[in-house]
Amino acid sequence: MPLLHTILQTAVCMLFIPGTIQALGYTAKTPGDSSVWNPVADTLRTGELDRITIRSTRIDEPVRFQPVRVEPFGLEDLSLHTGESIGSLLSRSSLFVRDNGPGGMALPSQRGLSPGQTQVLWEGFPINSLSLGQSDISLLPAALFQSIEVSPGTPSSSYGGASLGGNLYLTSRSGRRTDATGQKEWLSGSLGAGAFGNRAGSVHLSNIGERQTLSATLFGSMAENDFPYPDHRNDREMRRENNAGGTGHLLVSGDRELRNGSLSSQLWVWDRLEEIPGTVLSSYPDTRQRDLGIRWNSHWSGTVGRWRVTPRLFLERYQFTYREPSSSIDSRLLSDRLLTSVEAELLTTGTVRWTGGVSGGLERVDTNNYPDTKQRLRTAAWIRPDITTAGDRLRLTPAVRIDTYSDFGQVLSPSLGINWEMVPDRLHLRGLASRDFNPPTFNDLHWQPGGNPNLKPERSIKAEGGFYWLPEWAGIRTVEWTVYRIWLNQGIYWSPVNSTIWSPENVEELHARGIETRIETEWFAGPTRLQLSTAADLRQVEIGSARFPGDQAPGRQLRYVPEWSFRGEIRADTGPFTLLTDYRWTDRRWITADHTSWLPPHQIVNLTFLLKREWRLFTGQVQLSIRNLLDESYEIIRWYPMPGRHLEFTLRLGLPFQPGS
Amino acid sequence: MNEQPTITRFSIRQPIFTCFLALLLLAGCSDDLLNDPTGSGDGQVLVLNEGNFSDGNGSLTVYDPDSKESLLRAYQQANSSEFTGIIQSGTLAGGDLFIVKNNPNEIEILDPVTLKSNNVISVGEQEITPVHVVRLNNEKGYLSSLYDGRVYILNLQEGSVEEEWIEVGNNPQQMLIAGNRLFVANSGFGNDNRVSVIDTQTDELLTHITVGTGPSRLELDSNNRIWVLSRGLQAYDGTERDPENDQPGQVDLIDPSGLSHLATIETGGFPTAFALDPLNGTAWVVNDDQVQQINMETLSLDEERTIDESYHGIGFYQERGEFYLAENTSYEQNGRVIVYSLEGAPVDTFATGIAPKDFLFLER
Repeated sequence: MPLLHTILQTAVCMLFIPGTIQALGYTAKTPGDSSVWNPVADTLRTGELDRITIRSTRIDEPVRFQPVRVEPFGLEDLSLHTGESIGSLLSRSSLFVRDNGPGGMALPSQRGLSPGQTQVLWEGFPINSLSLGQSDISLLPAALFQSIEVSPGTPSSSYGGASLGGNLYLTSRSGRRTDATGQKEWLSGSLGAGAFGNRAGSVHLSNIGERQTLSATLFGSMAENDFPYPDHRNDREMRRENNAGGTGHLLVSGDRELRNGSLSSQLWVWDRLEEIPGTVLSSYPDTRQRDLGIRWNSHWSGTVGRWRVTPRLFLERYQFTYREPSSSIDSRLLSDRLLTSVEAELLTTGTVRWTGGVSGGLERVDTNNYPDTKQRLRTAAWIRPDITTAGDRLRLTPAVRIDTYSDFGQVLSPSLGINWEMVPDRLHLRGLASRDFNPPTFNDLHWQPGGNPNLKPERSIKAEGGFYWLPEWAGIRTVEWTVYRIWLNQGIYWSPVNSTIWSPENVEELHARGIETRIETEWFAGPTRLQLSTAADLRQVEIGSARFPGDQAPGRQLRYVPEWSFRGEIRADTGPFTLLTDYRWTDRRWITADHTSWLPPHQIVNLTFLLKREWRLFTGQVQLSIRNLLDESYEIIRWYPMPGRHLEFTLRLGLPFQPGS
Repeated sequence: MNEQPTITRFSIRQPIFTCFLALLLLAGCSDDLLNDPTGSGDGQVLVLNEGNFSDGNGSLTVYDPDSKESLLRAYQQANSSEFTGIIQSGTLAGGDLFIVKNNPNEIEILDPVTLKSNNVISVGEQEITPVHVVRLNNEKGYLSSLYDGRVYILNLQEGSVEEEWIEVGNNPQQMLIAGNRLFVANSGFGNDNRVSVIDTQTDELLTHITVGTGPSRLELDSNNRIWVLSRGLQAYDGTERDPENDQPGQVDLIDPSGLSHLATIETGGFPTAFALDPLNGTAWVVNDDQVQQINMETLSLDEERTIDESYHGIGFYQERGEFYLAENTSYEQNGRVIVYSLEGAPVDTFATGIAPKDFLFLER
């Protein structure tokens, strides 16, 4: 039934809607007809993608020239979620967010693999938790970023381990970088308020000079998150309790053009204090969690002879405390990262463009959950000759990377990507095969008791292929289709050693396969622009072999992985008004490995209304959102309810040009 | 003197044995019990399935040893609603079945025959982490609380927890009433070695009796001796196991009248569950990857008669002369129970909910 449901929905949206739209008098945009463009509604989603250089794969080309599927989100997408974390934005992508609800964790899962197997990169450096391996994206406010790339197919040869399920690439908001419209803002700010005591505000200030820019983004939010939910056990309505929290972030970014290159630096400081509600079955009124951290990265990029050289430096200090008095839990953690790399690119106009680099660093974790301070040294070297041939229509990207870790040794990660522009400016065939790895986390290795210092890295073979089509026909702008397979072995699986101690071993084998499709259309009727996009994802992720005697999981879909999901968006822009509707249908998720219980499918509709005005030098924008319009009662993680229908209001003001400029 | 059964070493990993169990498992899957969760025979076996903590999916499985039919989720059948929580323990007393749960922290009182839920005592707001309930009389019971080292007094008439409590040792778990005294096993997760004794008339702590490391389970035998199972302590030096500093588990016997320590039986290993078989004078101990037998008269281990398998729980059905071993495959999928005759032959197996842990035997 879910399959039939999805096929029908996809068929309706992909086949009948364009016809209906045409019947209503809308016309498809023709190339070069720039006069019909709405001046206030420019977005990355509608054919401007060639302006965007993708970073998540290290192949600095636009989306259509990549060997793997990449979903970029730009400033305008992010600005719709100014007062929130990036989680709500990313739920509009193929990535599945394992969301514990407002005030709780939100973990990204790509292609059905675990959150610890998705690498989250900030300006090219990993920010996944050293102890857990995963990255809680509820800690990442959308207001801090200029763009986010969702790249499930990125191999380990690009940025190293933890990328069995690809990566998420975050680029900081800065004065130098412009949005898709080419617009730079000198001053902007937003204030948001919403249901359940949500308050958020941000200020972004840029000082843009001829050769240098300096910008700062300040973000703060607080919320009670006391939303109502149905207590099905007792047939009554309850309110989420002990779920309040507040967070503050400061991001300072600077760029300076030098005589022989450019210097760029970003500093990010944050603090978050939260109550922890736990499941709706438990009550931990005195439980608190605090996350405090600082990250800094800096790089210089310039030419040395025939080479462009980019040395980079990254520092991170993260402090975490979790106190649960009722269970006498007092967990403390302090982690440090010092990473450095040097990348080099041979400046040539030939068929082969050589790039490569070396990196190294130290990672250290000090926590009362380990017997003493633990650290690891890591080094890596990689090389990638990008080959462009056949009249610039065939791109081959072979790469090999070798990583050396002080705790488990060396890992070799080769990959081979291809992108063939079969029909110029219209159709690209693409594919990539890679051997990837995921290092054991510090908790896997050192948790006391149970940590296993003899763990090996998880390994996988990943392959994907598909096409990227720009038909420019019947309003259809882009069609993407991707099929993938992942064979994972040496997966780390925690199992009970006895009644109180669990320990991890490299015993898990996973087989993942899936199909990702996406169609984007664009229509015009007078001053009105209508954009539609639909996407359907199939993920089949199974345990490959028994992990212990009597294991009933092999051959069954993994827990908490929806086999099907469907997304649709409709956006209408007319004059200063914008109406955006997004729809998501998520298949059931198994709770138990033997498929004896599950969470039912759910569908979510969000409605957003935008009004943009200009007044003298200022731009203003009012945003009203109705989230979960259908008031769906649902959970993504068992016993963590999601809020029903609720309102959010955001006011944004901007001063695009620096006074005197 | 009871006749001792003849048991030889056997392993569930032997192919023929596994096939036999598989056939039994298939044969035992019937919907008949769905119409009558109490079964049709002279008695029934209630399996307490702990469940996975984060999913709160403990469950009760009913097994009819006569028809060999089982009902996987008997609570749901009886109450038309999901059972919610992690089962810590179950106590049959005074015609009630007390199921102690975490996540949510509450005591659910069921009719032991129909499994209909009659009352729920919620203790979450008091920040009690309930482990075990014992009933003194119609009015009063006791509740051990894992993390605060206390035993709380239950008002069974009102279905509430009294404001008084009794300080005992570290991480109290199972309790037992013998005469006018309440005995509390303070496990300390391997960092306590005492059984606390409380006067049930004054609710005052009388004394502590020193036993093995990590006492967690108590059982009274027909000779009025309390058997105490201590789990021991698995030592770690950092993340590395440190076997030299292990403190192995053991079984101790206590005289509840004289409050004296009677004997110690060194089992070695780290035992997790036990059951007394008074018919044959045997104590069965689940210990690491084996099930040991202790002669209850000589208080000695019978080394020759060990079952080489790892189990999660054990129960002895005295009226039928069968013992039940719970097999927990993982906390993400259903477990199963294997029924053995006293001769050591598997006579049946049936599927259970997640992490089967304890057994209760109901006779009509």
